Amino acid sequence: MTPLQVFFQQLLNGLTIGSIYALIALGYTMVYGVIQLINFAHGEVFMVGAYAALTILLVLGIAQPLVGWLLVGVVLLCGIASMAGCGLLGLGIERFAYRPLRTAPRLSALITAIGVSFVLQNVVMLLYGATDRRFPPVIAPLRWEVAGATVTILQVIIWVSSAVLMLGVQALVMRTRLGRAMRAASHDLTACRLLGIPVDRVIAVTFCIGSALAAFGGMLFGVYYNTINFHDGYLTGLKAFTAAVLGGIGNIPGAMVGGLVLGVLEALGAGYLSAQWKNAFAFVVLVALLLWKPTGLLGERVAERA
Amino acid sequence: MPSPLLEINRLTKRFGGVVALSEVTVTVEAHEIVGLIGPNGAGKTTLFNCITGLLRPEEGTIAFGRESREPLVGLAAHEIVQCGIARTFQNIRLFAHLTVLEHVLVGTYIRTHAGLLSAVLRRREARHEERWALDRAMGLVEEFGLSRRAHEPAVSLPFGLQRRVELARAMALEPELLLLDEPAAGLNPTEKQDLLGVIQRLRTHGLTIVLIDHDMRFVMPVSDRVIVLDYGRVIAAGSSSAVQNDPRVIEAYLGKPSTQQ
Repeated sequence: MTPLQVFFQQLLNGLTIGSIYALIALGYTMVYGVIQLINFAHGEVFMVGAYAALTILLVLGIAQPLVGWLLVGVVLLCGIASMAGCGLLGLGIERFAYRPLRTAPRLSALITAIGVSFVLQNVVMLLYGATDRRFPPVIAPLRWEVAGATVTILQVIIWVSSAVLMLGVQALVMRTRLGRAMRAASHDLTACRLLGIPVDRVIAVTFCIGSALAAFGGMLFGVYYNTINFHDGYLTGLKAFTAAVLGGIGNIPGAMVGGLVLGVLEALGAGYLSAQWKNAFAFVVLVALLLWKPTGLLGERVAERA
Repeated sequence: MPSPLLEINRLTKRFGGVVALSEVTVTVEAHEIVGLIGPNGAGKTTLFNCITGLLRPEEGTIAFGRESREPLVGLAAHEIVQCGIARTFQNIRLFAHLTVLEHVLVGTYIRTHAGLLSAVLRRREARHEERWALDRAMGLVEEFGLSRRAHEPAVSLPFGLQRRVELARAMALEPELLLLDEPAAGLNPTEKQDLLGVIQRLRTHGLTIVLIDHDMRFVMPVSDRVIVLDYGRVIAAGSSSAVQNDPRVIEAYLGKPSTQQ
């Protein structure tokens, strides 16, 4: 492989994992936008999403690669089921863990978020065991050569499906009644109440959408890496959080850009510097950002709200 | 005699030891424009906050509606809006990033129903409803003379136009009662005149309006009736001229005259 081909290959790999980071980062950024909470349980929702998809594959008894419409059907079924399940999970977390703390100091909600994440990790560990669970090879190992780099069908599925979801979220937020209410709520909850908007419901829906996106990311993650573990949500969640900060927390297009940029940086770092330090790159980026550009790539300086 | 649209009875609101409102009794008839005046700190905004559910009064009742008398105390702010009460703020509260048109669209929220599922599935009703909301919002934007700036971020507009955005947004709620909290604050004389015109026009839509200002000269020409608050109490109520000559009102505004020699 020529150096250019190596670079191109790493770029494609980075865009793949970056798409997954972006899907998860959307949930962090949307929730932060509306109630200024860093929902540290979000990474665990992602992990639960992966286990939900795995469960469906096991129930369906799929043990070999699928092709054609059957593949599309199974991917859709897994995706929709884990999104619906985690959407409900997100609603539940908001209702029982965060809503009672709405008027409490912000630190209380943050600590609760960490507590929720421990609960989810341990519940999954009890249900599925502490060891890695293998994903059945659902997707045929189809691959193409593109300009000297290898592209797998799975990568294409990841790019296309996450692009569709991200565009969908963007359209939902920008062009629907609910999206407008979410954007208004992110600026002034009181003014929203006085426009008749049931703010609690808007917040709940925001959690639901964010959790569903993370669940889909979880499914893609499990299929991409072939394996899932109950503590995978922790590291990946932190990376996606970094992606959200990178794009400018609270900014929806920012989360998408941040996810892709972080994925590419990580892949290039792993390829050129050291694969063992792969996980460190995200956090070097986070520290550098907090030092020099805390508002992120697309974020803007906003006064801290009282 | 028609029954009043808004009936506030012996309303009391305390903040710790401070009595912000003390047994305030006020009624507002349908289609009336009522001016609520009083010196700073008299409790005007507190009264609005109690009516709209931002504050919960300790005592007293608020009833609203012509046929069904809805008791408002205890309802959530967004439920009170759904009863038909809209308000604006003394310090304009617009949403950063949202355009003028989007502000008015947010106002149509309670008149529309599409939820998450129908938005995601792009159901026909949802698209239909969105078009309706857009038409309605465009109509209001035009009515308030904002068409040319409809797609600009509302916060980038001059102050006088921001007021109109806030009014247009409130009108999108299709309220029966509109509470305006110092709508003239920060406006220059021309803008004040414009605003008076807007308020007069709103009345022709059959709206009932309660208007706060501490400037009597602004309130009196548009108001059918004026209510004066001072230290959380109603000290006078009636026609503009009667109130203007009421010694208690003069005292509240100008202080007690020194004892004549």
